[in-house]
Amino acid sequence: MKELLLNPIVKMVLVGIWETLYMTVVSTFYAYIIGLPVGTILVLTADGGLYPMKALNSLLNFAINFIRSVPFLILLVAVIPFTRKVAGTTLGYKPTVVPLVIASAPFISRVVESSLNEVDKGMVEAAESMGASIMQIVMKVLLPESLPSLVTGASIAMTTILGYSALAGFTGGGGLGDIATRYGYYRRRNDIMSATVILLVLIVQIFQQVGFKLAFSRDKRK
Amino acid sequence: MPSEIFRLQDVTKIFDSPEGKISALKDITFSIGKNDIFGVIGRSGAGKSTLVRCLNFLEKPTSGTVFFEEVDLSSLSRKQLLVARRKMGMIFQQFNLLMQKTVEKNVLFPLEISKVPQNQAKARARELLEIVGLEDKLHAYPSQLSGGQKQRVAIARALANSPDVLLCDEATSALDPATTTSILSLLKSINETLGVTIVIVTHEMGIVERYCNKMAIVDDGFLAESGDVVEVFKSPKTIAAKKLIYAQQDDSLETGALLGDGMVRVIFDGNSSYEPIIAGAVLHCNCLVNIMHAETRDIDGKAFGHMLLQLPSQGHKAVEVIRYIESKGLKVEAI
Repeated sequence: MKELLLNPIVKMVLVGIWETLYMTVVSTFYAYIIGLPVGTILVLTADGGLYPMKALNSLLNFAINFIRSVPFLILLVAVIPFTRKVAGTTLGYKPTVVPLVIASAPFISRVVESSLNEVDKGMVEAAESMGASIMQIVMKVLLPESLPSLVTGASIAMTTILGYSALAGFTGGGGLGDIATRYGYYRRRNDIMSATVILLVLIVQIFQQVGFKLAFSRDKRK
Repeated sequence: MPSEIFRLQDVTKIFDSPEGKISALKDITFSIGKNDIFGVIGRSGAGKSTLVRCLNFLEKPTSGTVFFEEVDLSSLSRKQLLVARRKMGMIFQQFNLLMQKTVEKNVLFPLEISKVPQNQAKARARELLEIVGLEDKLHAYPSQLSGGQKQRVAIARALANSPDVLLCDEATSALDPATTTSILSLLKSINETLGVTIVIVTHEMGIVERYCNKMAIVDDGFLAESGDVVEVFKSPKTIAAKKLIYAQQDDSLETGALLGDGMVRVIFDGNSSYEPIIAGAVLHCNCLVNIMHAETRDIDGKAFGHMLLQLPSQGHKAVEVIRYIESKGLKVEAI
C-alpha cells in the first residue's frame, strides 16, 4: 500500500483528482455568487415579473447568450490576458478558476432562472397579497420554494464545470484533464488515459447522485 | 366610524394582449359595507377575479378609484400599499400555500413579513390554527393535507395580521360540496365572531344565496346589479342577473324549448306565496293554465320563487289571467 502511494504516477493522479475537485468546487461556488443574483434579476425584471425592467433584462440576456455562444476552449484562450491580470499566471489549476467562472456563470444564471420560474405564480401572488416586499418574496418564497430544483441544477452545473476543467488541461490548466492530455494524448500512455477517464466518470456520478439525493430529501411536495 | 370598507368609483381595467386591448372591467361603481358578507358573482371570464384583485391592488385599475377605509389606494406609496395590504387577507382557489414549509411556518409567514417578534408570532399561529380546527397539524406539510384542510391553513394564514377584510377568490371551487359547506360556515363564523368583512367571489349562485347579505353581479366586465341579496333575488332587473338566478334551474329556457305562445313568468315574494293564486286564477277566469316549472326557495326566512305558466292561447283569456295574478300583488313577465 505504502509502495503504491509512493509510485510517482499514482501520486500524480491523486494530485490530479485533488486539483480537479478544487477547480470544480471553487469555480461552482464563485459562479453561483454571480449566477444566483443574475438569475434572480432575470426573473424579476422580465416582462410580467415583479419588477419589469426591459433594458436591464435585455442587456443581461444578451450578455448571457453572447458568452454561452463562445465554445469553452476558445473562451479559455481568449481570456488569457484577463486571467493573467487576476491570477498573475495562467498555468496550473488555480488560475483555471477564472475562465471556468466566466464560462459557467451565464449557464448557472439560466439554470437559476428556470428553477425560479417553476415556482407557482399563485404563491407569489399570495405573498404579494400579504404585503410582502420584493426582497421578502425572493428570500422567503422564490428561493426556498425552488430549493430542490436549485440543488438539482447545481449538481448539473457542477458536472458541466468539471467537464470544462478537463478541457483546460490543454492549456496547462492542471487536474485530471491535464494528465490525460500530457500522458494519454502526447505520450500515448493508454493505461493512464483509461485511469483518468474512469476517475472522471466516477467523480461525475458521485456529484450527480449526491445532488439528486439531496434535492429529493429536501422536497416536501411528495 | 364609516360604514363602508371599500368604495369603487368608475373602476376600469384594460389588459394589453397580443390580440389587442381587452377591457376586463368597465366603469364599475359600488361599495362594500363593514361586516358584510359580500358576494361577487359572474360567469367565468366575466371579470370578477380581476375585480377582487383591484380591491387589494394586485391589479391596478387603468382608471377609476378604489377607496379602502376611506383611503384612495392609488395615492399610497409602494411601502404604504404593502402595509395597507396587511389589513386585507386573501385566499385562493388553489390555496397557494408554501409547499416546502410546514403548516405552522405557513401561518408564521405573514407575521414574518410584518416583523412580529417570533415568540409572539408562534403563539398567534397556534391561536389561528385553533380557530380553523387544525391545531394538531402544526408540523405537517401541505402535501399531507386534504383540500379542505389546505384551505383552512390558507384562512389561518390570511387572518394572521388581523385583517379587516378577507377576500376569497373562488375559494371553494376546487372543493367537494361537503367541504365547501364547512369552509363557508367557517367564513361565516369568522365574520360573526371576529367582525371581519368577507368578500366571496364565486360563480355559484347557491353560495351567494346562502351565505351573503350583499351582492354584486359582474357580466362581461360591467356591473350588472348590486345590492341586498334578498332584493336582487326577488326581482332581478338585468338579463345577466335573471340568467344567473333563473337559468341555472331551467337551462331549457336558453334553448327555447319551452318558449311557446303565452309563456309568462310569475314571480312570488314572501307575502303571497301561501295563497292559492294559480288555482284562484283558474276558477276566476274559467280557463286552464299549464304549470311548466315552479320553484320556491327560502331566503332569510321568507319564501321566494318563480313559476313558468303557459296561458290559454286565446289572447283575452291570457290577459285576464295576467290581470288576476297581478291584482294579487305578484309580478308577471312575458318571456
